[in-house]
Amino acid sequence: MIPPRIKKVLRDLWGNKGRTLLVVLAIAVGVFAFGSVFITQELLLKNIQDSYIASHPSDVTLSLSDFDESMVTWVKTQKDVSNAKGFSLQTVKLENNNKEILLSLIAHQNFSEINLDFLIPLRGVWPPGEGEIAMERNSYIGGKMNLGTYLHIKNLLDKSNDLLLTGEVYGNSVIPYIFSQQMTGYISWETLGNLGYSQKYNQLSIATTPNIKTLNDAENFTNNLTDLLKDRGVMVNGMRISTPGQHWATDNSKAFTAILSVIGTFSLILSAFLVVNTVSAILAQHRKQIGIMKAIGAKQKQVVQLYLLMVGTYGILALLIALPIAMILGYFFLKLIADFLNLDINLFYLPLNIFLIELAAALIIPLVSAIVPIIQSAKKSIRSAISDFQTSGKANAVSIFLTNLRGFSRPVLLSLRNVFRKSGRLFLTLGTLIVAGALFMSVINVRSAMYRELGRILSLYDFQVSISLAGDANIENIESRLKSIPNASMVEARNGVTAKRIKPNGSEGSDFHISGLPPDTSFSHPTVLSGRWLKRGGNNEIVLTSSFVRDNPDLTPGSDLYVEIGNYKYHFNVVGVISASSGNGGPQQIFADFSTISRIKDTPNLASSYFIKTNPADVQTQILVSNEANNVLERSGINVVFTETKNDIISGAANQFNFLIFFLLAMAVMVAVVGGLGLAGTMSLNVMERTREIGIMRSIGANDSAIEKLVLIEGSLVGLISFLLSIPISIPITFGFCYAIGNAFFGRTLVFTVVPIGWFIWFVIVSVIALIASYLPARSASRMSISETLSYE
Amino acid sequence: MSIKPLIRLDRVSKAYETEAGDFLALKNINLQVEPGEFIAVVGKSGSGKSTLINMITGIDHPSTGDIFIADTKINNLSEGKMAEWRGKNLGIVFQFFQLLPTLTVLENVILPMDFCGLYDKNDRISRALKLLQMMEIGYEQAGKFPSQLSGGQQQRVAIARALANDPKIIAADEPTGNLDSKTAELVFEMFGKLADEGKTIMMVTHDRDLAKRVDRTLVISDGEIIEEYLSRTFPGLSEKQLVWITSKLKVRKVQPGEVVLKRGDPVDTLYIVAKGKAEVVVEPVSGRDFVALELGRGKYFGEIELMMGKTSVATVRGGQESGAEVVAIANDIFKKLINEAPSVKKQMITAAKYHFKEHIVNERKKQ
Repeated sequence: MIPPRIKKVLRDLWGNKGRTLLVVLAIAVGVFAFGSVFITQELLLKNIQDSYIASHPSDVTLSLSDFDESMVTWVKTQKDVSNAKGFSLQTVKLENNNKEILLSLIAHQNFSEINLDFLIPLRGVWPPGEGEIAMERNSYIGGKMNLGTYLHIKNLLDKSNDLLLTGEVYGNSVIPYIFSQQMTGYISWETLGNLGYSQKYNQLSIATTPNIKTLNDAENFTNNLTDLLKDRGVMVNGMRISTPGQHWATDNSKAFTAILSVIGTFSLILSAFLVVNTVSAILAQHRKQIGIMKAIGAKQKQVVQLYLLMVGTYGILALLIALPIAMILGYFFLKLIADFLNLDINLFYLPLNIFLIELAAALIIPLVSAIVPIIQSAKKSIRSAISDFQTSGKANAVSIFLTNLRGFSRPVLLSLRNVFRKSGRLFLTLGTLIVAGALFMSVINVRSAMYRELGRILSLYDFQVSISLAGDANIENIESRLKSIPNASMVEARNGVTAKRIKPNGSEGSDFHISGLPPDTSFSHPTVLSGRWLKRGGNNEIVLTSSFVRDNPDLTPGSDLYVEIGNYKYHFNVVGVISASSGNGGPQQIFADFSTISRIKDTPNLASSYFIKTNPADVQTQILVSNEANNVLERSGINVVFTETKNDIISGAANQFNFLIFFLLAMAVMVAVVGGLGLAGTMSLNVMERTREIGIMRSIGANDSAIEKLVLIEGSLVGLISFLLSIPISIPITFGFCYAIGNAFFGRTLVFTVVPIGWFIWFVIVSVIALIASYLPARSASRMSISETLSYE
Repeated sequence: MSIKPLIRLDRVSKAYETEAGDFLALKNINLQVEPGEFIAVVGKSGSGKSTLINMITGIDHPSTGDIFIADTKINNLSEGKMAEWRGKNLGIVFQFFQLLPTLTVLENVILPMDFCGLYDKNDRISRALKLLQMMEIGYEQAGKFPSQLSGGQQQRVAIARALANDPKIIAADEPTGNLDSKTAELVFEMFGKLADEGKTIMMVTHDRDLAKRVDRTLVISDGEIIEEYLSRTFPGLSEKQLVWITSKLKVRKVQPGEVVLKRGDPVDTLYIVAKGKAEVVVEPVSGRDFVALELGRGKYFGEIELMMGKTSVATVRGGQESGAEVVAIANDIFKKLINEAPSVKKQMITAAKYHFKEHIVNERKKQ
């Protein structure tokens, strides 16, 4: 037989379904928000790592002058090389939806012998036959391409070819289009020849042995190897070095999920607030029952156990709801991030540690939150517990102040005073709503700060169209042709070189690009973070970007920067750092005077990059001028590699930020739901506790609408107070976000930004929450009959 | 041999702090209750009745003074020990029944056994059913929830619950206060039965009629106890005067046949019978005792002598069967009392004259 006290707990839960649901939901929301974030975090990193390891990743990729299999065999014998693979990479232009997109064509001599950076066939034919192409699946962003269609490509000499799209593959190491703005396709060795390229390798992928552990180890290893390659007469044109055993998105994913987990933890803490509120109210309601139980022999410990059992049951019920939701939500988040990062979710399960954390969150947090009110209630003397003479709130300073307010009607004054009657409950409800509001406002603020940062970065791109030529061309010639295009108002030429840093210890870093531009350019308005911008006549001056400095923290204005450009060593003076970020995985870009680069390259009056300002600057004009520039130059026999409008640049960057913002907002909405539940709970508890009072008001003439108004005004006031208080609280949270997100994704703390429109949006949301949260209790209050309310115990 | 009191209150006072200042709910109360007594506690609202019951049940603690129940000084018990002690030794019945609404009638009765771990788990149901049956709650009602029963039935369930752990004492705070007179009568009868079975019952009530039917009535006035027989003895005294006189009483236990007053002895005390019976004995010529009068609770003797300045006109002794408990009011106190209360003076003069006449008649009968 179940002991009667256990039955009491179960019947109390079942008998008050509405209240049980409220508490269970309050716990569940926190637990599933928390759980989904932690499932995402744990499984995202596991999936990244697992699929990365499963793809047999290379750690170093070198762009070399043509070589053959014998060299690959030789590389495999070198120290710390565990495996190597040669392949050919050619960059072409792909026409897609009337736009030209860069396409990396990768050709392997024998696809069945790929031993590094494995590819997984997904659809169609694999490997591609002669005249065929298999696209990496992530290339479909921006327009799905159907198998069986022909892709029109142009090589950099503008020779057109059509390739039949026959397959779709997945390459784990391929950086998604959203970051690289470049698609990837695979062709056979024969097709490579047919397209006019030499059937030689120009890329060497190397996997290192476990001796190479850090990025520094990998850089040293690459330096030694490239020295040996140079000795063998091979030219090293570029290199990409990754931290061994670590996917390129690992660090950012860690930072991203860490920010989410902070918000998830907030939700959990807020749900604990709700538990305290609701359990306290339940205990207040059970005051007499507790007294009676003690009077008939229940010890304090037994009463505590009884109510802990009740809270524990709430926790278990919440866990039963929260776990599947956390799994579903976790999968949804994971899938979204995985798609974004071009990852597969091969692993999806409930990790034991997350289950245990969830169990602890659902059980221990409510129990810990409830223990104090439970002990307080159990400790209460029987006399005060069973006494009928309980005042429901002493007159506090606020009440006295409100009593003296003039110009409000009595019912409004009553609502005002009711707000402050249960100060503990008000504090916790306000706390929940304030944090929800502050988080929401902070997300809107940080979104704006990110866009502001983006704006700063984009101030480097004060032009509407950029054109990359296959090689250097006469500036005067190109400029005159481009200026002839209708709506093209100004043209600027820039040059550039690929370089790699020679560090003070003699080691070399990854490739980066030095862009040469006129110091007094009107096409870029960089935000100088430290030092200064380039000035005319400055000798060997160089300006770094914030993201370059993040990777090379020893460099500041005044530092010396030594670089290697085409086997020659050059020295630059660092004069400033500007706000700019490179795309994930893309090469870094830094800036020098046009004349400096011309001198290094020995190409006066020649440039390969041209920029056009259009008038008007709208998207339509950008596209028209871009297309026309392409046509004009190609008609003159000048090979255009690539044209890009400013709109393309903005949307590429904005996509990344919007993704981040989406998640932050999703979390903020979750916190808002917790806040709404909190307010709904508080209002129902207030109404429940004041049932008798409502009966008295009814008996002295209060009609339905007067009762409803009383509750609605009270709820709205709580919403309003929380709104006003969340504004100052959002400030430190915004600072925190600006620091965390800025440093994780931009290489520097974002500039603190306050967006009053965010306040307004939250004001609307919190008002709606308050009205919805108060409406149901208000309605049920107005429906109670006098006899019901006066006999309420 | 005197019986050891089951409940003893020694100089118990209770003060409450209120916003209006300290409120003294009980003032220096002394009380002794013997096992098996059925006591009614009456008084106006706010007089301290419930506080007194709360002291005895350990629901509240005295500010000063001690409370002994059997041999346990309960005001020294910790909250945990008190709960355990209370569960086993006291059954409490409340005015509003206070059954737990989410438990069935049967479960409500089992609950105290469950909390106190008394009786074998398998026996608890049968014991609860037996108690319910004793309270005339049928088996078919046992599975119902309290809200499905009438007020009287609920109160009988509450009594069954109070009896669950077979306590020696049942404390009831206005158990009939929320019932109609017919149901109240029924519930009162239940208490009567329990008293007959040897339970000690302390019942707070507003119902003076019911209070008359118990062994002993305590009147509480402004936190002080007045023995009900005193108010019956001196109906003309104000409650304040009754309280004053209560504090001046000297209790004397009189064994059966033990002489309190001997004929011809000087008298300086008024005696009132508090319990049992006293016998007025007129000595017959033949030498055999002649019991002229039996004095029950509230009756007094010694007034003829005090009012008329005579030596004792008769012998008064403890009743042959029960003995008696008498309370003594010293002459100076008595004088002060009749000086301050003319109605009592008048009552005493009338009584003295009447009783003296009766005495003359008895004397004649004797001869």
